[in-house]
Amino acid sequence: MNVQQRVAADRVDITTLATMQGALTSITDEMSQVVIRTARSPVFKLAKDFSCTLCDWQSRQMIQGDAELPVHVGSIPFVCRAVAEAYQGNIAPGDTFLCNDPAFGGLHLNDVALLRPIFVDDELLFWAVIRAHWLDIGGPSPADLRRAQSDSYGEGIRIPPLKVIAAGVPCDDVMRLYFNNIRFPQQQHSDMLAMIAAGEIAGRRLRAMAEKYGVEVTKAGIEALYEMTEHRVRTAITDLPDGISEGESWLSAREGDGHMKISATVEVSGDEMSIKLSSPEQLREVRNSPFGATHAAVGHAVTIALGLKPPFNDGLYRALDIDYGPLGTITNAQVPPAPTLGCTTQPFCEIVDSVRHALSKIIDDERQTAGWGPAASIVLAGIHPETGQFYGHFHPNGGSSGGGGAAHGADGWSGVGSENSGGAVLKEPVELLEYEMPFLVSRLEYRMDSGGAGRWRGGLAVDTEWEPLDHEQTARFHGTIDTFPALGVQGAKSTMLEPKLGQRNAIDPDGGVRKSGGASRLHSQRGGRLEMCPPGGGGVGDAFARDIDAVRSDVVNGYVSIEGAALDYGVVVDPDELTVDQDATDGLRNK
Amino acid sequence: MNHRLGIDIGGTFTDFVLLSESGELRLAKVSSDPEDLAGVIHAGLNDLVAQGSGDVSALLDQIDLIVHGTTIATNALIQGRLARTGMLCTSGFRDILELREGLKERRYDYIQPPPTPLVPRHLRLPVDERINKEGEVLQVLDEDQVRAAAVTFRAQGVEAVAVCLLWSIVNPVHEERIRDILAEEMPDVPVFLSSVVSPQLREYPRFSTTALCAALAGRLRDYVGRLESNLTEVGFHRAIRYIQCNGGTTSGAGLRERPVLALDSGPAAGPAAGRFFGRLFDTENVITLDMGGTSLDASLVHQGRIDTAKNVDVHRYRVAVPMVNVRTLGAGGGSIAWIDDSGLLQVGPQSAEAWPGPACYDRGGEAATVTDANVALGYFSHTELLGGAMTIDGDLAVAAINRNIARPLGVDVLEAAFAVYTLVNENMANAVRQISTEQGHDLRDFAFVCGGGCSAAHAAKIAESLDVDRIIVPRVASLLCSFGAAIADVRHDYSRNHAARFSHCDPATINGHFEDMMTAARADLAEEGFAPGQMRLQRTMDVRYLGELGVLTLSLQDDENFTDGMTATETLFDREHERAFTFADPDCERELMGLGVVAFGQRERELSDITMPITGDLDPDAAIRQRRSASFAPGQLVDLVVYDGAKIAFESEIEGPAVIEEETTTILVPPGWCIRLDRSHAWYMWRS
Repeated sequence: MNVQQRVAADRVDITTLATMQGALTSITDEMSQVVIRTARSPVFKLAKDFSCTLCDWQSRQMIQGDAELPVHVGSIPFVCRAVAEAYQGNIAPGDTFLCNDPAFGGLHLNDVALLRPIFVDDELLFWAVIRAHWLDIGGPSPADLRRAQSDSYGEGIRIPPLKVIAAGVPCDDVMRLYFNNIRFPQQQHSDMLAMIAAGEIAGRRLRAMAEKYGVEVTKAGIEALYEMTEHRVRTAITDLPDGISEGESWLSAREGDGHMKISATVEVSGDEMSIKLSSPEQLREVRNSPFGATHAAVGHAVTIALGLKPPFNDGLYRALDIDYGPLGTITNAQVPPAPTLGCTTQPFCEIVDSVRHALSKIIDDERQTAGWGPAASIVLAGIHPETGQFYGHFHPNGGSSGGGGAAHGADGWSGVGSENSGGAVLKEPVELLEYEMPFLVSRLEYRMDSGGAGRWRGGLAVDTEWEPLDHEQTARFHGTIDTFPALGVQGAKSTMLEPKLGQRNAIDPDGGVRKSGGASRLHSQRGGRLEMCPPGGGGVGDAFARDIDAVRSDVVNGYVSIEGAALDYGVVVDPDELTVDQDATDGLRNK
Repeated sequence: MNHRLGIDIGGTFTDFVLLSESGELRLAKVSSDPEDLAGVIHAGLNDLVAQGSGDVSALLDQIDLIVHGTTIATNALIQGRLARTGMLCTSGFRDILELREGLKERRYDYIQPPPTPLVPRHLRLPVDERINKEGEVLQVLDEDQVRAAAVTFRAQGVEAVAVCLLWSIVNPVHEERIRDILAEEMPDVPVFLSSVVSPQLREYPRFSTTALCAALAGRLRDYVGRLESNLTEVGFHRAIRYIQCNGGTTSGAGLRERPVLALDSGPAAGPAAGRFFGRLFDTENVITLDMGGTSLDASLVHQGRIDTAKNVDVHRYRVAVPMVNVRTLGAGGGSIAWIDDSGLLQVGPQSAEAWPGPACYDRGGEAATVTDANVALGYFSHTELLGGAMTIDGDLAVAAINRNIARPLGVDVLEAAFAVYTLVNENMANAVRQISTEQGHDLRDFAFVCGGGCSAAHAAKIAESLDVDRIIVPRVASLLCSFGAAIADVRHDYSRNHAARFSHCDPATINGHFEDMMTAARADLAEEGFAPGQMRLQRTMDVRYLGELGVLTLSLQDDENFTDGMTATETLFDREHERAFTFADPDCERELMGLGVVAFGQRERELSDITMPITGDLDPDAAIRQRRSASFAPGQLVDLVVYDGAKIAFESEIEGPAVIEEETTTILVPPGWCIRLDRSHAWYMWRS
């Protein structure tokens, strides 16, 4: 008997099941539309650094859709459960809660979850949860993204499960305390209204759904959908050979060579998979991953490797046994005291890659995917020359974006990285940015040879330069992007390595270039510029097996240089005619 | 004289609707043949002639306007049959077009490639120049680079050029200079400026729209030329207009100027028809559901205004000009029901197409389709479709449902068929939500108007899901877009980039912009032969709360002249914002983001009635064709009466459960619904 037959025996008909799944997808889409159109800070609306999801009466996730950020949605249930437990018996219609505390499933403090309980006939049946990157969360410098902090107290306001609206009435005392401690309170207040509106929309739709099918059938239907996803995951795991495989990735040191290894041990046994991480002791800087972020990273890596298609729900994780490593290590950071500002980017992508690396040894060739490289967020801050006020502009993924990893059978996407957002986060339109901000974007284009070499090439990175107008600007960031290239798989290897790596530079008015190296900030002089060059995506397969016409086309279009074609791909292209020298190519490729 | 002819060329059929001034209607449907446009037109005209008297030239003598909807542009885009296009960009920004603001649509799909750029990178050439947001020239245009680019373009056989510079909307001087240089260097190649094609802030949508214009230009110019010479050859010498993506009509010259306007020509005429039929039943709020064999097109008219949207992706390419907000879903009669890898039933978007079609067509189709579900449930006849014009085998429908759905899921065939039927309805209801409730509309105020062959069998159940309780099924339903083309107004959109916080808005400047645009609009309409009384100009304003990404396009009152500053507009905006998004934020400053004028040229006299050659005179009881059992809930069968729609007299009322079989569509009246045939040759269905 298959899952749906078992379900049918429980009196949820196949029509209800299918329409319920469609409704959940359509509701989260509608929530996202409301937020994207009404939020006011650029990171929300231009970059779409937010995610909408729905949980059930036991705080389990009912829908994890295609539009959301993997890092956001993978850990929502922990937050929802924490709120439900903290306020048990004290949750009413019209309440609104906030939570960003990594100890309760939060990520970095800027990612604030807003939760609205949804009641049907006096029963708490659903939660609408919107998690978004808030522009500022207090702390020592505006719109912060630094790594100077050595503990979590310096990072900003840590919000445990907290009621901020009680039965429709804002808790003014709490709100005053909060808005008194952050920058840009007006913008952020509007962002909160946008999130509440999305929750309101979800409430209307979910209540209508529960009324249509009745509470009991609705619950049975949701349970059935979980079982069906679980079944799908277990089937995919069963197809893998039983056994243990190991993978690793590296978190680069700020300076010197004390790089930190993140190891993953994957064990497949029948229809279950266990993933065990180990990593060094947590850092006195921001690249620590609390369990929520680690959970999301592992879930994402497994989803991609198994080739599972959304929508997902609670059933996704039921066949997975995830061990984050001992409390107090990088992949299971203890908060307090660990600062976690980096967790959504570095080491998120490194954790994904360690699991990817382990899984790449046991999955079919057709399911191989490459890494997207280290993430490279950046904040530009300064004092607005006209208003005299602080401004902070956060660019997720480095404002200009890195290259996506290739897959078996497909080149990587260019300018969509990093993998923590998987192409959900958008690049700010140049004109809108210049309209609102006191700087010029002076360049924004692909970096030649930045895609990792492979039979399928990694996506290209996009370089961006900013020029502050009539003032000095500071760029802040964390982590390093200039040490390890994106993970290539199935024998993919780049010879011309340097352009695959990322870097951040200040370009002075006299033309001098200052590289950031391991520093966490760069200061641009008046009349100078800041430059952000994220890493390119990794390749899949032997680069010397790449189709020669594809290499030539890459050269014609300036994705790959003539030198790169020869070094990385063994293809010799005539610089004037742009034709392929077949003999010379054979010579290189058959060496 | 005074007849209008609508011609809608679709993938499978070309529809002809001939409409006299008094509302007399003649219809023809012939097979499309893209290779033989002249033959198709001939066939259609002959069919129309056969329904009246005289010959083709007599018929053409009566026609003073032909309005044409065509899928040529949409198909060219889907199939990639585009011109070899070059682009000139501000140096440092050549990849804006390809980057698409960094969007990757699917998070967990690592195989799907990005869309092929409209202009390949080696033909996107940078030129040194820079203008800032104030319109000041920071770097003067390097004209030598432009001339060098022209040499490259010529060598590469470039057929059209898009000029896409940052901030050209504030100061177009560099784009215009480039146009002049290219006119010298490559005079035969059409050049499109982003500041002309789509003068609005935000570079990617603007550049994409400009590139689309260039990429479509050649094909459209040829097509318009061919069509117009074909019509001249058959003896037609009067006006020819085209349906544009904004739902109105324009001339061939208008299309050549902005070829992007030809996208969705055809489906875009649906709402004009929907509005017309809505008005016959005293409603200004309608949703048009056009469901054919492979897809549903849903669109909305609110308070008599056809809903348009800007910055929409058409087959993954961004379009920044106003387009009729048509939500397309892969849900049609041929949509295939299947079971996904978690065991969940799905319907579409794959379709059995016209060939082999649904299993019951007996052309070798194995898949279970929506039409097969309709047959299995008893809604459609077991033996024939299209009022007897097509023979089918209902047993094959039942077998396909059984084999593909019922057995794998362990349910009986009726339950499986009902699940397919219900699921496709719910999918369509969700699509309608996106253009209605998600934009803040209350669906209880709306009526459905059915178009296409398939929607009348599904409309009532979609309506129940959305709290809609009025449905109009015109007899012209299966040619709805062609009818819409015949009655559509001329429409031109004018826009100005003008951004300022409300506290900094200068009424004189705003009024000046409006006056300029309205003067241009009146001149354009006058040139097309409209008298002042036939012109309707609507001023619009794009407004947002300071910093929002989305703008709301407000339609201003005709007498609003900002003498009291922006107060009235503030109130209007807050109200619209609350309607659309559940909240207003009156403490927040509002910001003007753009100005527009929509200009309509309307016909002299409103069409108020429809007459057709079909004239039934029977009581419903005398028009009963069959009684059969049908299922409206899993496991339950009820008696269903099947009527021959063509024989029924006006004003007859029928209670559901019933089926009205018309020549081109089958109307399902489920239990709880009633239907009556109106004198306007439209069926009106309501919840009892």
